[in-house]
Amino acid sequence: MTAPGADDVVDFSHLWYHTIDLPDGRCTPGQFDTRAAPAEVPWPAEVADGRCLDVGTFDGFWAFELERRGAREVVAMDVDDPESLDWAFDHKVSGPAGVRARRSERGPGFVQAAAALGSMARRISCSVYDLSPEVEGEFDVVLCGALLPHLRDPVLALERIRSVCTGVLIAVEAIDAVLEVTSPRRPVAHVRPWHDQWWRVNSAGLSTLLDVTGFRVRVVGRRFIMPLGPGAPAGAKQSLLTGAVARRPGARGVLLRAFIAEPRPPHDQS
Amino acid sequence: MPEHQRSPDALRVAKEAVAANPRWYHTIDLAPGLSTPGQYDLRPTVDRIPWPDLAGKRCLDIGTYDGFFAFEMERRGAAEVVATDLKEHEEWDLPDAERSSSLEGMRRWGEKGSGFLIAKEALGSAVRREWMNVYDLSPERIGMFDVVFCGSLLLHLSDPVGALRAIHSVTKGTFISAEAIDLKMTLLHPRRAVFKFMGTARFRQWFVANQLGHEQLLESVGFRIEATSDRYVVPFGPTHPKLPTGWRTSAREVLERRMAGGTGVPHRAIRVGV
Repeated sequence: MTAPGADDVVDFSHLWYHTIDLPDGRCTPGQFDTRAAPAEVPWPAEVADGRCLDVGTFDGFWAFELERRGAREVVAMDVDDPESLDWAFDHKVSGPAGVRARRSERGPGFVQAAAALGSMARRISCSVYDLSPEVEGEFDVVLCGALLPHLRDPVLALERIRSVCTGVLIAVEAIDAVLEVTSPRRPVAHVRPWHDQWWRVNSAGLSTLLDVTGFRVRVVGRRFIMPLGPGAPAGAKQSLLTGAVARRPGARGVLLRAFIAEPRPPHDQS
Repeated sequence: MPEHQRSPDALRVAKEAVAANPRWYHTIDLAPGLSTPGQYDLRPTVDRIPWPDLAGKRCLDIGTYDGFFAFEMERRGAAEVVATDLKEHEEWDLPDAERSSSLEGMRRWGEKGSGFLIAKEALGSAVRREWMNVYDLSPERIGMFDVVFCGSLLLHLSDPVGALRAIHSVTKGTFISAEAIDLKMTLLHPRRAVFKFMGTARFRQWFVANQLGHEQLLESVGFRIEATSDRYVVPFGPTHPKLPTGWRTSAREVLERRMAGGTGVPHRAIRVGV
């Protein structure tokens, strides 16, 4: 018996979010080329043999990466129903309809990629806002990849994440390039509710968000660019500033940075 | 006519009640010669607000605290004014990680809603107060309002968009949002919606928007901007803790004078329709 080839399980015409290398040398045609990102994460020791949760897994890129790095168990979480995403007022109807029309629902990609990779990662449908120890227990490692910009209430989301995180949080998050330059130390966020985009923080802002939700930042990686992938819409607008901020002049894409944080006890304020 | 305007005895009783309240948030004129010693003096800001006609309207004041704006709407001819607030300090929107230590500090403020009742009594007001969290506002729970007012509240909320969605759900006509804005971020980013993270449980403040951020937040939940005020400041009242002296405070005050016409907490009021 031979293992199933990618052609048997992967629908390359499907709209992919993540670019994932497949065993036969091909890759899924993602909107974002995620493949170089793991090298930019200062991986904590807890991943090896840890019980890991990937929040907002989409096509599963980070869940498979956790597995590859020796996680004992990987649970991958996302919402199945596009209506459950946080849509801006003007996109409450057109947003979910667009997801269905473009066939970019969360779920099918993960299932196909997991089959092609022979992954044991287990996918569950749950909103980060509903996360609690009752859902799937606690985790040594929780990872979220570019999740916060898509949330209306990032504070609640991080508090929910903290409620299940016993070891370490790996937040590989989008950073606002303009604010990174204009406010290098002041914690701020750019807010532009548009489709499923809400808050975009600078590095200081993410540190503050993590602090107020009960985390202590352990290590921060360097800023890096995630380029658009083969599945990105043609003519997508990309600023040159992101490349400059990541010290990669000329490079275009999304500016990201990995924050490794651990749950902390309350500050003593008395 | 309120009782104390008829008898010196009643005025004395009102004075004693005012003095007995451990912490006034708002400075409110209750009678000639009797004002509450608030931490914030909203009196000079009233004329900056782009009020709609309130005559005969059903009005709501959200996060009323001692009731300054609820009484103001009544004075402006509202047919009915409902004022909502949290009953206990315990209900403040606090980060999980800081909840217990932050509450410790608030206990010495005494009961949260006592000032409102003293002022209401002294003013002979018919404003009705309901204990309700802004996030819980809904037509089913409190009905619909012609005019809704919310002042200096969003900065205390971890989910300002969620709160505005709830406010939108009970607004039939007009909503006035008079909020703190960050001047530095307004100066630095005139065309970009930016929020500063206050990030501290100490002042129970989460985010302060720049001018455009305040506008975009309102538009993001479906409001349409009708009128905006100039920038103004809410001056500190007599009981506000003293600000630290030093160049930081001085620099901030220069910015406040230049951009908002005085010193205090920079604000801007926006009137929106649904």
